[in-house]
Amino acid sequence: MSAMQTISIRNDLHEIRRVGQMIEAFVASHGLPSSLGRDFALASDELLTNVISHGYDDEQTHAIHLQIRCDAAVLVLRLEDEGRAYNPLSAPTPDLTAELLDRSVGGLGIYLVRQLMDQVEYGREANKNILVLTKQIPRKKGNKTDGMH
Amino acid sequence: MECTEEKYNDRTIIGLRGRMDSVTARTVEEKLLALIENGERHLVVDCAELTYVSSAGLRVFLMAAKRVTQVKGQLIFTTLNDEVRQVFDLTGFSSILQVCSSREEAITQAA
Repeated sequence: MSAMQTISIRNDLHEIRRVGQMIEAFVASHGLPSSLGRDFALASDELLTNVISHGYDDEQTHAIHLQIRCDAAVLVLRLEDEGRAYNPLSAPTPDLTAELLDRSVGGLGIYLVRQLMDQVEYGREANKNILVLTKQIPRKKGNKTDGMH
Repeated sequence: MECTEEKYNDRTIIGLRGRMDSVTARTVEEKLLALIENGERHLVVDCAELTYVSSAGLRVFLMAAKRVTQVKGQLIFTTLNDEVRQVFDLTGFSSILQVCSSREEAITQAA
């Protein structure tokens, strides 16, 4: 099994929902667990919100390209934007143990992405930020070879 | 994103319906901050129909919780669905915010 779908959006926060819907539809149409679709939709929302809110030095319209693909083992989402160079993985980990009044929400979005995904990779190619999110597809129940000794 | 408001004795129950993300979180922010500003001190946020929350929503919840704490009030979240609960758990919000499983519990807890 291998399949791929792409979507391009403008740098407008209202566009993010379309990406989530596409991801969830893709996941459903390939018989994958809906929780996987929700995790990717949330992760993409966090990353796109960051790029659209802080990624550009001008007020122009910019395209952001996304590609989702799955094979037997993993689901992979690739995001490509032409914003200024920014590696979200360099954001400090938020202090999750701080008391309420000392808590800050800075960095929570990217922290969530890292928690939801198995792997997040960043690269800068041809003046574009490339993020690749990967997560194992949970095996179907009833697979007897599934980790049993 | 819809916000409903209901009074129960001195408590105010805010019902959230829909998705709370970077587009819609502002609606909730304005509602919660206005209530606190107007002197409400016992707030219950009913999340039974909140289908989605991103960090943009968490930011609003955290800000409102801090504001309420500073004025010695109380903000309780109730009836989180599994997805919203997962986000609260992953970010440690379950331990810094007051969360009740039922609306009744949240109303009786509000002192």
